[in-house]
Amino acid sequence: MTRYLLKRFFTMLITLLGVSILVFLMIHLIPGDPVLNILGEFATEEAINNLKAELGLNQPLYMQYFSFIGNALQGDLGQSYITNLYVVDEIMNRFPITFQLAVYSLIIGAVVGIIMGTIAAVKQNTIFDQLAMMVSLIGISAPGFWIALFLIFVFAYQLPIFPISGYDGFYSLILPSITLGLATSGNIARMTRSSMLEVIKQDYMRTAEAKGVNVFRLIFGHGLQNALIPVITLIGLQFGHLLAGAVVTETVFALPGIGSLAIEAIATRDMPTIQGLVMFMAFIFIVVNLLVDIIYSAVDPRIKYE
Amino acid sequence: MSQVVTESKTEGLVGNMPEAAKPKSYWSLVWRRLKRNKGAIIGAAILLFFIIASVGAPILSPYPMEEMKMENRFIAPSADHWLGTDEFGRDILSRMMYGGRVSLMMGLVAVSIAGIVGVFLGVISGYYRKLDIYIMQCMDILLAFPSLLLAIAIIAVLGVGLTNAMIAVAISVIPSYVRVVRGTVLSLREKEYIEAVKALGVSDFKIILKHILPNVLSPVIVLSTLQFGTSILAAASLSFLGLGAQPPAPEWGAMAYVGKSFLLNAWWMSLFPGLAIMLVVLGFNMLGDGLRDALDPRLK
Amino acid sequence: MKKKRFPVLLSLVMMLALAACSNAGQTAKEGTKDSGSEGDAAGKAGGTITVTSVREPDTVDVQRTTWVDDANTHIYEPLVKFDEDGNIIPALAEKYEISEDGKVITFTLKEGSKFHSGANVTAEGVKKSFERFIDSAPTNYMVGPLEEIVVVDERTFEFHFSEPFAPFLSNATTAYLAPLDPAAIEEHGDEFGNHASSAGILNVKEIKRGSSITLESFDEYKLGAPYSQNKGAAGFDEVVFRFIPDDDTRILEFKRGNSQVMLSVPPNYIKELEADPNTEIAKTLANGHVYLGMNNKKKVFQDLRVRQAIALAIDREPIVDFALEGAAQPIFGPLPPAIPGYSEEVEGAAAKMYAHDLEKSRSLLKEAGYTGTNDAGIVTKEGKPLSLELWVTQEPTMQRIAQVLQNQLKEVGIELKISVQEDATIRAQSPEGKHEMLLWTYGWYDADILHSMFGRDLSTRVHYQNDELISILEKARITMNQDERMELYKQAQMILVEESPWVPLFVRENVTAYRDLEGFKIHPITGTIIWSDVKLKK
Repeated sequence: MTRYLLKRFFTMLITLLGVSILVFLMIHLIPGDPVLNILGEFATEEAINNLKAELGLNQPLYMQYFSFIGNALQGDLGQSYITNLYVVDEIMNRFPITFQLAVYSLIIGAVVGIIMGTIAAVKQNTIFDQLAMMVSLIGISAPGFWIALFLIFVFAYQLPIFPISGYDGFYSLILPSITLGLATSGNIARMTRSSMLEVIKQDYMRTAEAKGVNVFRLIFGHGLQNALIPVITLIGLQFGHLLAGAVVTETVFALPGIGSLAIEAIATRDMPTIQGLVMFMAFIFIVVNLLVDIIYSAVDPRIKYE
Repeated sequence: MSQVVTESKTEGLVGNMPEAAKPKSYWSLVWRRLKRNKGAIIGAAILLFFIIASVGAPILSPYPMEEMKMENRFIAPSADHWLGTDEFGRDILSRMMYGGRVSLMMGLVAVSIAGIVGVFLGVISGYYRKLDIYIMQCMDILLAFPSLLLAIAIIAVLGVGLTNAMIAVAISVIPSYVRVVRGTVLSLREKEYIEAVKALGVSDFKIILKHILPNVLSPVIVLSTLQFGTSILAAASLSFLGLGAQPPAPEWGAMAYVGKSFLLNAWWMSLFPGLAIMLVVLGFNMLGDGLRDALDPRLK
Repeated sequence: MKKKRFPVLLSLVMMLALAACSNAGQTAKEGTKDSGSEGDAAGKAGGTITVTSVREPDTVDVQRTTWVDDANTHIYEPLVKFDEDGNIIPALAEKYEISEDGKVITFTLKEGSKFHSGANVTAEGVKKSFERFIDSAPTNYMVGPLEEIVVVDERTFEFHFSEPFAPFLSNATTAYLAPLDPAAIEEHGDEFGNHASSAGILNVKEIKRGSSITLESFDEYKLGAPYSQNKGAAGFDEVVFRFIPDDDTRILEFKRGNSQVMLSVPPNYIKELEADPNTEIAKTLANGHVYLGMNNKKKVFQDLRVRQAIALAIDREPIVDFALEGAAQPIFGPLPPAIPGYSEEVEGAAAKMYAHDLEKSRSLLKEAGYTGTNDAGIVTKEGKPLSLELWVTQEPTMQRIAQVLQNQLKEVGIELKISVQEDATIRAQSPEGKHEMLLWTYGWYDADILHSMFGRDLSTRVHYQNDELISILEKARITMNQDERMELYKQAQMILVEESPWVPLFVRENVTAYRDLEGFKIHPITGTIIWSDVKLKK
């Protein structure tokens, strides 16, 4: 176990290093100059050159990279070129909203997905199967902004049940969570269904059924429990994605999460913020995956560490 | 252990594929199974409908796509304009029929690029174990990079436009192909008959071509069908951010996005293109699920 | 720069716990939202006004940004301001005098003005603020050749320039040049943006990055302009600026009554809002225009006939009517009515010269050598079709304009290829001249903008350099006599009209929708809200 964890830790570092190089290269390949965004439309050439020197943008690329990675290793992601705020602070200010949104969305997605997936599996090849799958697939089939707008229009505008936009506590996250939750439920339902089918076909289930155990109890007592193992992995993966921020949903609902921060940063070519955010998102994603793997092995003792 | 997990992450596509290249009877069996699957049939029917409408656009569409007629602005759905008109008096139905070509082509190109690159890398990774660690490390990096941001960054580098959007979407999809293919190849490698063929001195290239690729086909078909829908959706998200199709190209996502800003006075402008996206993606998802059921005998 | 660190390899569990904790804190705090509607004694109605806007200012520190709008400008009180006709009138300064040679401007501050912190506004304080501005503001070119600031007494100070700088007074009306509270600068330094203090009608209460800025009425404000009835503090408690990037979400918030003011209403919603009995609309003309820019460095545009042919092929009416739903005014000349220097004579001449004329456009193209026509109906010169790439930003309205332009130019056989580019990409690549054409806009308060756009080596968007034009514009900068200066701008504009290096299209109407408010006005020159008389309706 320790050896395995060490190995994973090592891969994690390499992956993060890779991400850092990738994001660094990309930022410098993107046409657009942060200095022009800072100095505005009518900046003089002299001012542009001075600022470039001050920000270290006229140094060779590899130097810039090393200073970035050196500072990052010490936990310093720098200051935003545009707002002068510390990138770490900006992320920490906004991450709680993204985090809550991810948790609620995942709960909605998992509940809907698992229920629909189970129904579909138990009633395989009936109209219920098709119906349940269709319902759960609609969420991953429609464009996010479209669903979001529909929800706002109906449940916040026509029927003023929820706030239309902005972050104002739990209540304001319900519609965005439904938007994202629906988009997550499809995959979870699909996974639940196939893994449930697998379990149902296994001998012990058949035996239990033959012994006259109540079908309902059978499914929720034994079937689901075993079928859930691969579903957990998927949920973990989805969680990792959700934590990276939902750009479109955050934009439509005007939520100040890290997804909208990323969009702003890219639009203004705010290099420290882009780099910091991508590194942070990658880090979270990797850690969540590691955790999922560990949980996975805890639930399923058959898995052995290499 | 990481291997096991990796495979299950690919949504159960892997590891149960038929062992050798199957004779025709296998595919006819699949076909019979597929025909019995109502979901798949519905999905296929939806897709067929949209494909016919798009392919036949030059003949079928009631109006020219780009003709601006300002006196016809914002006409609600009616006998003349079944799905209404937009802010320049252009017929939405006609634009959607042409737009179907853009959106479907977008999905097709993205899936093809991702599929070809992904299968190539996946086979190499699974077959030549020495390269495996490097390729998978690269894929891990790509996966850890937030996907929409990756696409946005790629477009920012390459420039806004449909082609670049397709490339961007394709790149973010590659890792899922690599994982699926690699998993399949790994399970095949251990099979006795592959060992036997190898012992006979058959070249790697031939083994891959004759014995590996045919078996990789089924999971790749299923994955492609599902990714087709995902790609169309990703394109729509990019259009929402102004990074997708360029005007006046009638890509559905762009139409839905532009129409969205006329929500209160011309709801039809965004409703119909949005519905089209939803139906097509739903179609691909249902067909994909059906294909998976049909191709995976264990589930029967 | 001091550094801030946090342990990178923080375990996720800790981080999640942290996130959860700060959530709880935030939710609790925001759960008890203070409506503040109790109101004070007679005359002061109180209450909170919510304004929605699309773009969040990068900071409210005007010396650290190039973006000033309603959300940050009202914190500041400039030395002078524009009245509703564009004349410069006193604000924080009670008067100003320009020396004979035009090199010294002497300001005298009004008595008893206070900063938000309670400190008096003094000449020494103004000097300190300007020193910071010159030292580090990205917009410090706005003070021109300023050499030093001399404090004469408590309320009097002089600006000494090395040569006359005519645009200075117009520039001084903007928040960029407004004095900041020296005590706050000293205390917070670069963090000033989070604790801004100046002498404006509103002071900072709370800034929530990514979502809102809350400003409250500054009780000791006494500088109400002559054009507003109330000269004292505003008649409400707070203004919350909420930033909602999606316009459709924004309009739903407004229609539901969750916000009282909707800034920059997108054109397609104007009719809808006009029809709403609860809503009132305020319109002002922008102080700039949207133009079709040509990259005059490119060979194809070095032929005047081609530039003129393009200008003649464009019909502004349909653009205004169908791409902007009527929320704009066509313009032919270089300056819009809101900028002093605008001349009806120039505008009239330009409108006559470039009235929509397809025949003339076609014949000019023929003269320029585009005699052939290919299968697609595009004119050709030596077999090469006249196909031009137009850079457009992601903004839907701009894309609509581009589509109309595309159709119009096709009429005379010019193919326009629309290429959507990110804003930042256009800013970075147009100075390098990588584009052929672009759809771009400008806005300013002074005719000196022409110098910024066409001065020596300054033409970063259209790359047009003309020695005669440059010398006139440079002369106008140092001409302190207003009439002479305006005459120079007239000459400069006529050159631009004849040379047609760009095609001015229209002046946008800034449309603001408001509801449940009385006394609401938008300043016709600056386009910002005049808060003095605004009250919530009971």
